[in-house]
Amino acid sequence: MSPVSKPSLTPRWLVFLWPGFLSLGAIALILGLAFTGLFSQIPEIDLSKIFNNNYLFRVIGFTLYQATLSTVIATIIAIPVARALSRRPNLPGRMLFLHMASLSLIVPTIVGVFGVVAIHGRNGWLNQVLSLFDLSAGNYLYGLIGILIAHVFFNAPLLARIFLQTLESLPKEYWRSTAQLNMSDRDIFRLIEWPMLRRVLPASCGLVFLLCFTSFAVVLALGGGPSTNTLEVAIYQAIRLDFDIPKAVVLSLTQLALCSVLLLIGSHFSRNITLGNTEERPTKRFDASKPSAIATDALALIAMSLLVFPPLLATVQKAFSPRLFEVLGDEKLWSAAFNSLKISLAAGTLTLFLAVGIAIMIRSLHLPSRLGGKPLSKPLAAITDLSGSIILLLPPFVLATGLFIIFKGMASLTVLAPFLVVTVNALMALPFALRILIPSFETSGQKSDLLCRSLAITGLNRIRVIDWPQNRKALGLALGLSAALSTGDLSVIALFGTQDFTTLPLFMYQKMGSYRLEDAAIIALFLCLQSLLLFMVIERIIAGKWFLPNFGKTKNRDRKLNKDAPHNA
Amino acid sequence: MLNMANLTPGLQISHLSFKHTKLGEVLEFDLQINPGELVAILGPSGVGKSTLLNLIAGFDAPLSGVITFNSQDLSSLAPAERPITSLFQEHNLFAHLTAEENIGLGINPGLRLSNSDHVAVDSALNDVGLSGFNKRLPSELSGGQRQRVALARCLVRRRPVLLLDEPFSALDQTLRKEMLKLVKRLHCEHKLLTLMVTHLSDDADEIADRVIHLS
Repeated sequence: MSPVSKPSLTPRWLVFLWPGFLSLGAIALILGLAFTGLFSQIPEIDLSKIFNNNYLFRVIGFTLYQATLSTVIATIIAIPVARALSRRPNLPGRMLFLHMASLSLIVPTIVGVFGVVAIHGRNGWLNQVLSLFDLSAGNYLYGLIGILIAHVFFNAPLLARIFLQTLESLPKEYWRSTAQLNMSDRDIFRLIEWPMLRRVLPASCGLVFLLCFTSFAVVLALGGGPSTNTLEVAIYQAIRLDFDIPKAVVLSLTQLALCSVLLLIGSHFSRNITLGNTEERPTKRFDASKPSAIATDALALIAMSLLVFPPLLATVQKAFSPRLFEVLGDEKLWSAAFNSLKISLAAGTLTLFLAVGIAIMIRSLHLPSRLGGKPLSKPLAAITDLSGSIILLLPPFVLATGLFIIFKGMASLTVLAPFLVVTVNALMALPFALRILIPSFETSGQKSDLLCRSLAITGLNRIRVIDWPQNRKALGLALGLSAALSTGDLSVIALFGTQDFTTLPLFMYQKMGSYRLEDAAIIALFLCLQSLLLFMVIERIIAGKWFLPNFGKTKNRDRKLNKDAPHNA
Repeated sequence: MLNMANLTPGLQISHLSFKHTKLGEVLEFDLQINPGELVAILGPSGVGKSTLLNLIAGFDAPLSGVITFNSQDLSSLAPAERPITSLFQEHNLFAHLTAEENIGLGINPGLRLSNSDHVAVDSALNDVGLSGFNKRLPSELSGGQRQRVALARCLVRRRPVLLLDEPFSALDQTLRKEMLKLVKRLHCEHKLLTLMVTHLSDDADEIADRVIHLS
């Protein structure tokens, strides 16, 4: 037997792993600098001052409390919605709903918050409707209720989508069996659906819990007082309002410790969640036509629609005001938009480079045709994967605070701010980009590795002929999503933004802060359009889909069918 | 009520037509299966063998035509109300439930089983040669064993018509022959009317009383 691969001078593992080591090195450098910054402040910390007034514990308590409640409520709403959608593949508006659900990933947090205010605020739609009946819900928004509404607004659709994917992954024979066995609606949920959902529950709810735990913009805008502060907002206030860096470091390290514990509890969270498109496979479910099923499904879908759609509609409605042209003529708007564009492109590109390196490394460590099965492969892959998602463990503010401490002596904030924002935003988008790239790279390697080796397609040729065409869709999606996420981010920029350096989300937040809600609505719409447009343009250019009108789709399908038909006949 | 003069025993399928959503073709079926008969339906892939079984079981709705069993019209009945039990090629068992639970679902769809129900499950397992496999999960069973458990569930449901859709195509030859023997034995012991779809003429010849070629 002759060896399959040719002997070469460089060790095999280095050939496969160097891009990953490059990415990991970059991440390690950023983390190293940030931690050096944080730890340099430790001598300055006056622990007695911090522990004396219970502030820290109150903040920790509230952070955990609101994250738990948000996750529980979002899950309770998402499960019936996922069931309803899974057994009604032909429901009108189903696609729209699914698009909206993935939009909640792309709609900037601050825009969602604005929408929630427009519905639930003192003069929001809800109170306006109630006033027709001489009723008033009062001013319930600011505080815990507002935080919960906004968190559920963002996360319930996300969870519903993940749950729907889980239910849709069940074989169609299951539904035929349940129909033939005469299982009732309740039995199907109890015996089939719930056991399946329970498997993805730790991972998906863990992710949502972490998102709520580290949520910033929502709490900043809707928190409404020191009693409803989360750690993330407390860090922001320590730096921005109190100029108390040691206090910020204590809060940061607390946040880091808590997130690490959470991560250990929900160990392999997000590993088995892929952020792909749902496979549109029409499964016929026979339990859909039962009256009890129709009633519960209708209730679930109406509740979800009332939660998700009005805030978005209200934002659009408010944006078309007489002030539209005045705001669009504002030079500040355009300079903020341009800043956002620069930051999102830079951060997106950085994310993509880091993600590609890591994805190549992880695929080489998993695939048996490469280094899979070697003694160190599995732990190394796990560590690499974790490093890519480190930002979930180490919230943006902690990172930004550390980096700020290190660099603040070297240059002015005006010079530093863009670099800090780009770096941290890039790391924030990295976990999402990885969830897209890793599965795609792995599948393509699995399909092509052996074939390429037998045909001696290597190096640049392999990239040009095999890897690029097979993965460009995923690359486009990853870059588009990263850029869109960075466009809408209001976290690090809130910390480092100055008069001369604003982005659209910060500009919008400033308008909300000074109660110029019409202006804020217009900026919100502008921001959404910019984010969406950027996402679409990038995704389409890289994925090689050009801007074809939509009806081209059905045409293509017909043609494909005709081509296949003689085959099947 | 039924007119006794027209009573036709067995499974009668007349002018049953179905529009294939993917291919856009209209398929039409006419069949008469006598009580106690074991019929194999043979044909290349794509002629609508599985479609025929789906129509009989009520998983697909026909454009027109009639399906009767012992002169009872089945067309308006839900899958669970039909005198029919099905065995698919795969995914017959719910992957997270044990063999025992999977069979128990055939007795009570809420899995609320009495002591006598548990006895029935045991005897069905015994019938298919898997005594003592009660607590195994599908993932801990071989492909052949999974189909045996699925057959056991078909038995506890006590329906007169058994539909098999390429049930053993995924198994190797020796195992397949064994399973076919088992089906034949159960068919006779339980006095079933059995319809088996397959693309393997050997299998059809092996056990069928009659082979119908679809083309």
